[in-house]
Amino acid sequence: MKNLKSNKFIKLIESIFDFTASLKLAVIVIVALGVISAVGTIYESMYDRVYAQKLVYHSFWMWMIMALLAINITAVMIDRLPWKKHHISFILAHIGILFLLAGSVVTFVSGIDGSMIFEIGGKNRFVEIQEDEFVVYTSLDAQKYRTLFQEKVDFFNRDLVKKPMTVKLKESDLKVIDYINFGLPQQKIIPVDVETNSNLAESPAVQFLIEGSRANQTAWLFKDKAKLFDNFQMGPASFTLAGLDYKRIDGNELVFRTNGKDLQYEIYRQGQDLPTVSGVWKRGEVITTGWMDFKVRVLNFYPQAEEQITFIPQEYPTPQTTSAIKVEYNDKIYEVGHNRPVKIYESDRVHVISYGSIRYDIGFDMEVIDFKVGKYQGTQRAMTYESTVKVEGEKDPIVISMNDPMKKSGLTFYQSSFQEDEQGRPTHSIFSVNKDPGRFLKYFGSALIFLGIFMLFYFKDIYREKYKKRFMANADEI
Amino acid sequence: MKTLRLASDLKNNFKFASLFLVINLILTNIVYASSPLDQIPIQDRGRIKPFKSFANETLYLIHGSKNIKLPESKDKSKKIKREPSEVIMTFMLAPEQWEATPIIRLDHLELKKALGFKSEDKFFSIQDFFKAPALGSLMQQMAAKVERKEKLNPFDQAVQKLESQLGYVRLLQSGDVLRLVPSKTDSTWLSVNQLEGPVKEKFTDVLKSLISVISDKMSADKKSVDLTDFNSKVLAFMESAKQENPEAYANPKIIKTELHYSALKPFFWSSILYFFAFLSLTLFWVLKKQNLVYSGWVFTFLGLAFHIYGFVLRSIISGRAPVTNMYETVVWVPMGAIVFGIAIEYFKKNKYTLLAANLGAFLCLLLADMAPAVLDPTIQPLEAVLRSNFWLSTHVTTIVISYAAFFLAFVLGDINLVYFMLDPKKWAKEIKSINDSIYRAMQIGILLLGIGIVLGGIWADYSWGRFWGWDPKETWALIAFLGYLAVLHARLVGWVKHFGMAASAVASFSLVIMAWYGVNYVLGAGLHSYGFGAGGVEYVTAFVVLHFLFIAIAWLIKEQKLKTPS
Repeated sequence: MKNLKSNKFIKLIESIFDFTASLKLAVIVIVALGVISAVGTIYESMYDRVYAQKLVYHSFWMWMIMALLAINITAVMIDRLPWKKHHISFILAHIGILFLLAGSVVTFVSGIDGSMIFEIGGKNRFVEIQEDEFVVYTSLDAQKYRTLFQEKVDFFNRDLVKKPMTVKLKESDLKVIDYINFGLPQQKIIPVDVETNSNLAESPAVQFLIEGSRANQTAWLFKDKAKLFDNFQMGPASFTLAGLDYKRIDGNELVFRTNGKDLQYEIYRQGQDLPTVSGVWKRGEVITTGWMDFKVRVLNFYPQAEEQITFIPQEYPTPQTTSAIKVEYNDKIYEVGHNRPVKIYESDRVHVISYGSIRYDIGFDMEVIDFKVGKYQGTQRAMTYESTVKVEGEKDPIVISMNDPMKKSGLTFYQSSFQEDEQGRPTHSIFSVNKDPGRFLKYFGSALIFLGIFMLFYFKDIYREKYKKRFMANADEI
Repeated sequence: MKTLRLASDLKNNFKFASLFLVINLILTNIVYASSPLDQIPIQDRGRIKPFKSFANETLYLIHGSKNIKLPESKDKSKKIKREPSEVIMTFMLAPEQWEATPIIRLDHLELKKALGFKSEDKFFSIQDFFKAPALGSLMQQMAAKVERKEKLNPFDQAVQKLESQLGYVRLLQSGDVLRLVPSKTDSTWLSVNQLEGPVKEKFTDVLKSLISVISDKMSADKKSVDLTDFNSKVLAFMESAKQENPEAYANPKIIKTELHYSALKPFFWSSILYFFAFLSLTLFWVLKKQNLVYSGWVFTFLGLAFHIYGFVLRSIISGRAPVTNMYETVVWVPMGAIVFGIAIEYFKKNKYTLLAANLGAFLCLLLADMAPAVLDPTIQPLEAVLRSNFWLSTHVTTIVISYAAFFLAFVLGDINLVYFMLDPKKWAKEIKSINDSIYRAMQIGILLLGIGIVLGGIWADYSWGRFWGWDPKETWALIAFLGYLAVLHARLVGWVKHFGMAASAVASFSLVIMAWYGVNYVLGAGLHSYGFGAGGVEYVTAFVVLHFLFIAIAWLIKEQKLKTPS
């Protein structure tokens, strides 16, 4: 009895092994891998690269199918033991796949795939990678900051609504309560109560409607503390909210000023230094510019205002959308965009809440001292771009251009793109920075695969021997 | 005796075919050597090209054809011959004349409706557009989307195209787009409005002479128009333009090569030759004359010669590898199919492979010629990321040539399905022979596609810093690779047999279509976005669906035939 049972057990083990080593499983795995990849490309087309990667390419299912592939190949090779001469091509092709898979795992686990952005003429030593962290800093004087909390996070794969992330701070708890995958940042200007704030008229805001035969548009002007003025252009016309030291350039212009209580306006005409009209705005008053047939209606005027950014969830991403989180603290909700830290002011201290890419110190300073864009003759189409960088510890500047990367300390720096201002002048140079410890394994694996396939197809069809009988049978059957 | 006969047959066929070749070359040489206006180098859309190419491309953009019917000919019995180059010049000579002429082609139905146009009309004048009240806001909406970097839907793309059509007409009228003279200081050439000194005078001479040429052509009593004065003025202007900056001026050899290329149409002739080869080989099955097989071979090689010559010319003109956009791949694939067809035919000697290769190549080239709106045949400069010639040429050409092998397998699969529908028992030998060819073609395809994918990885590693990044284009190449790999493995298990082999050769090709066309035109995402375009989706989908139906019907008929005893 006992013997029979163990026999059964051995048979079961054998049949499991036979299945794992079978071609049938191979076909199933190959097809499954193809189908999952196809789904990934559709996600990428509908959403974006990161979304597809998180949902498909780096998902649990993908890892499972890869593991199954590795098991299948290993079992198949064990099944063929002891190997003979005619097995060489078959072994090479399949062992190559194992090397390739191993290389991918090494890259995934210990590789770096990030980017570095340089202001042209500026320094940087941090690579931003695709993983995110959540950090809370605090400061008593708004100058020196201390880290209160820091943790690597993956909000994408976490249901924050059901299980919010709670950070215990001294005074009260801070909770991350929601995640917005594709948020369109929208600026909102809100009034600040003047009495609680002593800095009079440092950040006024005005909203107005321009009406006329050529226009019907509303606009906000918001002069931040740091700015001398805020300006809105409409064709040849200009609308300005001016601070104390504002200097006018010639043109048709409507200038608003405030002393912290009233809103004053001045209308200038092209070629004249003195205003044609000026006055103090009264509620309900319509200002006639006298040029371009415009009538201006002030809709809102806040002597003191602040800017708040909210993220409106979108169904699909655009280059302007970004991920964001909602944070609850002291019964108030703050929206924190990716890489856009938010300050929370309290009576005696200020907290900074940051949700963004993990930064990796490369260990040396780099400075982009020059950046050039080569354009195709007579067009605005970029032909080449290159950065000249000064690297700490290197005597001579190094040129990094597209398809000609710089290698240092195991890292490779590639010129990937650049940003430009409205006039088309480049302002920032962007490198993609990589460390790929799995590179050798991948190249080696690929070489083996192709050597194997080549031998398999053009020297000897080794499967023929094993499947000869079946083939002969198939030949007559159609 | 037999070998002698073969030799003389080949000789005769070659004689006939080389005569054809020589006549063609002479004709095209006469045509292009005649007009100096066509030869004026112009800087346009990122490269220097002959004026004729500029005229053809621009008229195509505006009018959907390089031939514009002119309104000014009062005498309808007399046909005025108008070269595109000459037409382009009249925009500058008489801008007001073009304002009310319906020359701008608009096909998009919804856009026509939005503008308040009649949907059956095809051509509209500039005035029509500027009278349409909706035009301004439509363009603003489109511009806002571009600003926000949103994906453009077909309607927005139609608005965008219309904007560039209108823009080009304005630029032609003002002459700002006619950059005919190299600048001494800048890489941007000077337009005819920016000229100064002697070169300006020379250009004015050209215009004056052109006016008299045009009025000569229009007057009914003159039979032939004397162009000698005009041509000498054009040559004098070119010489003077060259003197402005001789180093930046165009290489006349390349300009002539481009004119030769556009007059010769090598791909058109190779498609004709492939068709003759296909015809000869098909007739062989009916008439059983061995001569037809020889002429099939001769036509195939001649077609291939034209084909290769075409690619050589394109590479000389553009100064880069010949396979960088959709059009070029659609022309590159049939060449690969012919090469693999010749190779497999050489070993298998079943005559089907060569026939299938020629049929496929002919249809593919026909497609490339038929849809210039989707498959843009103009030579365009490369995106920055593609400017690394070695890896680009190796990885793209390898992947696309592997599609050629799968394409050959696909055509052979279709032929085999027809045999299954006719009588699977009677044609068992043929079916097996064709399947052998399919199997070989798939093997070639898998090996090349695999190498191409890895070369792509090396290129990506080299220029983007990652070997594999799940970019849709590379992922779909991998999916196609996996698909064919699954077929070959399933064959070993016995899941794919004879019918299965033919059917999967046809079915798996839909993966190649997705990787080749679908990623760019349907998915439209990813780093490979430089090759993107729009159009033709409905036809390609129909093509794929019909082939799946064909497989199903072939299977049903085959099952029926096998049940009935013969």
